[in-house]
Amino acid sequence: MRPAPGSRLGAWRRFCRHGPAVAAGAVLAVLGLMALALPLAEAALGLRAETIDLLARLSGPSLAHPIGADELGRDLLLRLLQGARVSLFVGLAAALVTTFIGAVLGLTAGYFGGWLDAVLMRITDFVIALPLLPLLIVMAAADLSRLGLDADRPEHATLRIILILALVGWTTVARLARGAALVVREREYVQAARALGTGSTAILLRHVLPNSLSPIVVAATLSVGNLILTESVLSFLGLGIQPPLASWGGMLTGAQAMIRDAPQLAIWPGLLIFVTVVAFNVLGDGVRDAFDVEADVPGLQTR
Amino acid sequence: MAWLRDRRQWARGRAVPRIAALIIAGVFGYLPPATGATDTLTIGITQFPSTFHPAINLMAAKQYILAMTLRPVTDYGHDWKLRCFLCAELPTIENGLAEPTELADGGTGVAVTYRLHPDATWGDGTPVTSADVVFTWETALREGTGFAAREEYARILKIDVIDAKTFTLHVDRLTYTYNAFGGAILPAHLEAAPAAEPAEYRNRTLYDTQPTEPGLWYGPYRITEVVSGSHVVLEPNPTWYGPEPAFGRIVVRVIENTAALRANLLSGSIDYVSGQVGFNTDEALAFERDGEGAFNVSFVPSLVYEHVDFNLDSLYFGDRRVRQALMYAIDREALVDALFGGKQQVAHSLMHPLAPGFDPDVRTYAYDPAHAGQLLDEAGWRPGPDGIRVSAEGERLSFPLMTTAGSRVRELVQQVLQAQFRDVGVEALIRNQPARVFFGETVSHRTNPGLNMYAFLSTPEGVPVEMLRSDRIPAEDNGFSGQNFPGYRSDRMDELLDTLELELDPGRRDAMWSELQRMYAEDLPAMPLYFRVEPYVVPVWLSGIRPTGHQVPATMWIEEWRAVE
Amino acid sequence: MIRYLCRRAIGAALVLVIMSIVLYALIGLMPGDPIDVMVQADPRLTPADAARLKALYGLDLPLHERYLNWLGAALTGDFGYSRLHHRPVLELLWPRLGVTVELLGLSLLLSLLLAIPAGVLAARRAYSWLDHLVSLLSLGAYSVPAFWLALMLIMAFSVELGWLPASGIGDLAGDGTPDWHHMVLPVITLSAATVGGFIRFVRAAMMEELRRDYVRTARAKGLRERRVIYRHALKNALVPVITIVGLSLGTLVSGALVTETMFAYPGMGKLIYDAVMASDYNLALVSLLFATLLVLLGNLAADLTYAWMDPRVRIGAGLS
Repeated sequence: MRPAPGSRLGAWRRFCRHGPAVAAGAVLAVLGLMALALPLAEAALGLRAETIDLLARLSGPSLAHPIGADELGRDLLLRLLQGARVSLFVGLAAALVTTFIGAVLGLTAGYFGGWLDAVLMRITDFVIALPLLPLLIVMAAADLSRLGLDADRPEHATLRIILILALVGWTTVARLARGAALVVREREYVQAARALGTGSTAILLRHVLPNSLSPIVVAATLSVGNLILTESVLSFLGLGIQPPLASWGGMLTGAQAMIRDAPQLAIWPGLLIFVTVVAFNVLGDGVRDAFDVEADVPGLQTR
Repeated sequence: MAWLRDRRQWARGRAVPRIAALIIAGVFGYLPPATGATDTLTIGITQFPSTFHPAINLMAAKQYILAMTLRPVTDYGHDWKLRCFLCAELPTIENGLAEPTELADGGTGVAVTYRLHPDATWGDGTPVTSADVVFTWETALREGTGFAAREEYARILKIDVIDAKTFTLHVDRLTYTYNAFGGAILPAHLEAAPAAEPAEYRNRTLYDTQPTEPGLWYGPYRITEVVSGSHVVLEPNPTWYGPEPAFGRIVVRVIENTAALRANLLSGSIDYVSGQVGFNTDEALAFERDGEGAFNVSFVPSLVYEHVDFNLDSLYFGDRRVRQALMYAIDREALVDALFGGKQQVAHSLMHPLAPGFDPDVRTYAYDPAHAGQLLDEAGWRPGPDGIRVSAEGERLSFPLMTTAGSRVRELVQQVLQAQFRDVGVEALIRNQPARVFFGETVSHRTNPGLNMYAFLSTPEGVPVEMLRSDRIPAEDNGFSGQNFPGYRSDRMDELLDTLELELDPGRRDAMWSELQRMYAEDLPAMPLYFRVEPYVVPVWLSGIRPTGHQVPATMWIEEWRAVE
Repeated sequence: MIRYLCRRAIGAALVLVIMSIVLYALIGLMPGDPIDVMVQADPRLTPADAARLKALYGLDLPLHERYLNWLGAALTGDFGYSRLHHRPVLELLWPRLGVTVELLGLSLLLSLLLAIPAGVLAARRAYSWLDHLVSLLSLGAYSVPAFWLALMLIMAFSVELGWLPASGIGDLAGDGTPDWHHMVLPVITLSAATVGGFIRFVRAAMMEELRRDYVRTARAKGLRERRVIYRHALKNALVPVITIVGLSLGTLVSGALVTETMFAYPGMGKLIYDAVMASDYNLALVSLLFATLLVLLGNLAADLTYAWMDPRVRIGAGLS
């Protein structure tokens, strides 16, 4: 018997039949594991990702540096792994924030309807249409300490990037979540709960959210790649992740100047960004097909 | 000019891709454009000037372009000595054109008489006269006209016009640079109308409303086209009083991204990249390896002094031993060798080796991490549990190390410093900000208790009063004016700075310069890193480019630039 | 129809006012100003000079006062001067706007010219190797950071092959390169960001149309496949695509910044970036507002075209 569409088990089975998506998932899993394996690789090479060795500057592959060293003689492999940690973390964290904002706004709009829906959706349409990158630049350059926030810690700088990136992606999630909530709110169990006097928040959390999860997950998956790309553009403009932390975008930006002398510095992070973005999109497609969601809102991007 | 075409195509690529290109072009019925005969020189720079007014806003890109269209009365030449550009003879006390005067308040001033070049003529045929000088001085002093370096004019008490080309400046102090007059001169016949309303002058000046007006310029070239953000076109000025320039047209192209700039140079879209507003040293080094023999790459020491300011009022750096320890902790020689191919010179104080008064025998700090550790121990910073030193009060030796965000080379250097500090148990946290935030807030308001890394440009004979005098420490009560950002206080230094400027005898001046450098190297208000070099990437067919190494750009001698076989 | 346009106009005006407040506040949060940077760059400037210049440019007033001053003047049509360039803001803006509109227009055109045939092809041969190839290529174009793509294109087509100029908007060296040659690489770079999304969307819309009854009926009546697809299905499939084109305008304006930086192209993106970085409030604000207005107008045009092409939608009722 074919599982009913919408059931989780059926979705998993359909996902597993989607060859490219499974492959993409595997690639991402490998990337994630590599990022986690940074301490192991450091131990194996007897180096740290930040270890600078000016004598090994721009050196090619060797026993000490399996794929060479960067412009400060840091091990390229370790830097890439650290970049994987940062880029994947930033991408996923921003996607999470994105999803949260989008889901809250979308579900609220869809469930309550009326003027609230009209206002929220008008805002969403407006943000989609905005030229976002210049806005992001303004935000990235703003001085948060003027608002009484402590901008001193490096992790706050990363947090700021995540929040800025999150402002890009939430609209897609919001639109899909709203669509789902519109359908769910007409279902009998929601009507019944309402008749029993259950509060709106409870209904939203207990019934609407779980039953609108599929499109939200799809949109979240599709947004990760875009967010990683946007971080690379911020790095290009000098507003991304700050050194000594490495992000792939930052490494790629730094490698531009060395493009003819040390192409490996550009090829590796470029390739990793490319593979990761492709993989997240293919994975997103797979998830969409599996959940049978109409989610072909093209990834709006800020490049 | 066939040679020009050849060089360009040669620079453009290797044979195989070109043959492939021709085949594919044939298929698509498209041939590469014929590079027509031209005597255009296309120069690439990385900044677009925000204004073309010679006195409003001072930025390197503008100075670079305007050196082709205007010339100051005097400026420094290749020998780092003052010389005439617009004047006929350099006034000195010895030749009687300058003489000390007594001021009303009893002090000593100076009266300097300049004679403008007899043939100096604005591009519309009006002669450049003493009246223009007086007009410029009056405009500069009027409230609201927005002159950037007004102080230079404010020192002039009055101007006596002797004849159309001769005038005497009465200056309120007698310094050893008494005969330097580097300020701009504006055409009174064109600029008088816009300047009638001083508050609106900067918006109405013809230099920005109509920069292609020939009467604004008297140099070898004049501006004939400006496309904001893209390029400036210059053509020879027929009224120029010097030797005729070789190129019939000069295009200054602005390409901010240096990777793109390099690609443009390789592809022949530009011929030459400015040494002053162009590549970073490491990019030029790469070009040297990669230029395919079509370019001569040379490195000229410049007056740009890269250093790291301590905050002497923070709890970390009040003790001189800590400052000296950090100097011993860093290997500047290795840094310069690795990142800049040894082309940049390690600095031992703020004085450039080529500057008059330079003293090579100041205290130097060779890389010696053991000694650094010892000094830190003595200063009471002992290794803590996580390897970072702590004071007796339990304070960790951990502070921000800041610079301008997005300046790739500085960020690289910064990371090296961070790693080397770490080796002696000192934690530097990298935190970078956009230039305007960094300079506008962090540096000028002294908000960073740690280290600030940046550069400043010194002039060949500039006395660093602003950087070192104790009343020039920016603070609330002086409106955060002054550039003594480290907060250096020394009575002896104050005294030296005051007397240096007024000392006319070169021998006695050298002795004072020497003492100043020794104090600087001993007390270390900042860590001297190195003097930047200006990389000149010159196509083999272009000759006559002679960099000065100081702030006067090579375009000040544009009329000597030639294309050669 | 008139009422509808009025409502849109009021909406747009509201959006622009809100934008201006948000932006003004955000730019105000960036400390420091160009005068401090200038002091750093030139030893001839004294602190007295710096203090005088700051007062001159009104940097000593509180932020909200500066905003109200600005708004009052802007409402009378006086957008003021750029502090950086000392020119009226609009005078700086117009040529840049023209350059960017041209770049955006051509990119949009190129994207559509590529996306429509590719999308139709992929839909007709859905799930074939061709379909997979198309989706792989469209995904690939999207997945490369734009600055990187630009550099690769310059290295390949300008440096190695020497076919196309690496930068600029016209023939400056006087060697007879036609102007359009300068546009090829920037337009390709900018299109890469949108073409993938368009292809996916055309494909999806087309597949949906091909499943509909009228297509089956037409096929059953023996109409030629080509005619069925291009006359009927494509026309209907393009209706939703128009909305996406409208929505992608913001993306394109954003993408213009990177493209303009890499190709030294004097457009709006670069103008906005430089103005923000130099805290040239006026210029930054006005150019951002114009960019937003451009996008809003584009959306309106898309909505009107949508209504015009799809008889099921009546302006004023179905759309708002």
